[in-house]
Amino acid sequence: MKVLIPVDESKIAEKAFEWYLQYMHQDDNEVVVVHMALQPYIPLIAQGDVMTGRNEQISAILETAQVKVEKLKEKFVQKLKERGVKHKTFFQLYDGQPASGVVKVVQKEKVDCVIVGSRGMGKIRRTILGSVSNYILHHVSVPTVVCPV
Amino acid sequence: MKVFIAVDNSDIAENACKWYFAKLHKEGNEVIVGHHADQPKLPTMSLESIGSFPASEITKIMTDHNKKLADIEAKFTMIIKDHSNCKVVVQTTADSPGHAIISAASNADMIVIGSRGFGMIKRKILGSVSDYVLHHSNVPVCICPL
Repeated sequence: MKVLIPVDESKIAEKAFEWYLQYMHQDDNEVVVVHMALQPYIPLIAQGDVMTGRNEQISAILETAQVKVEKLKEKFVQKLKERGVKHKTFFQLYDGQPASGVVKVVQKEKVDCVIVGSRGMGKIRRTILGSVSNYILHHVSVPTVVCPV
Repeated sequence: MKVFIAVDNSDIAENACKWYFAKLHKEGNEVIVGHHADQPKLPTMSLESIGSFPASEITKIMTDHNKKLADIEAKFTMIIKDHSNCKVVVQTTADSPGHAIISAASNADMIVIGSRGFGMIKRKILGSVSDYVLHHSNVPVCICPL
């Protein structure tokens, strides 16, 4: 069975991931871990030299964002390797809503099941389900396990 | 892992239960398939013979209700029969179905429930009971939109 777990930097995502490995994982499952990072904010006004300084600034911002994504990927890949889990990862800066990026991967990879935390990085607890989890739940046509806080 | 599968008489519930056993079930998991039915509405007045206690109508309603419960129990007992550590629990409750499920699953590690039951709206929206369970559960809930 192919299982997809969308993650972010939150503890809830990590908890959902660990919960899956502890309670649901079976040896012949393949785990697809997905992280669709928001494009970093690129300011319109450059610091210093208007022409050349701006390009350097943009590259620096993108590189920092990319490094952060890589670090997050390493964290999860290490856990998967430790347990000898067959896996695939999609960690990238995504141009658009993270939730729709995740759903695209779900459809493309033809996963059988999705495991998602009920919330992620959002600080304000307005609703039970965070916006991304809510979107994923309503747009995938496979069983979804929602892991509460 | 202790799993509680909340079912009704709908196809979605049956498919969710079968899907669980096909894809998620692990040897050693303890599974309870639970159906908590609403109490049927009993008449207080007889329509056949005005003024008297509606004994025959009540009997008929209760018999129909119990038959429905027995059908559900039989259906799911057939599905779980090859698996050890599994049982089917069918009850009538005065509670709302959502609340009854949360109580019954209080020591479960995961709840499995269909996205809808018999609701009329067939878009990808959660039925009222599934929505209640999702929002009130302390353990992971597996929503099956099958």
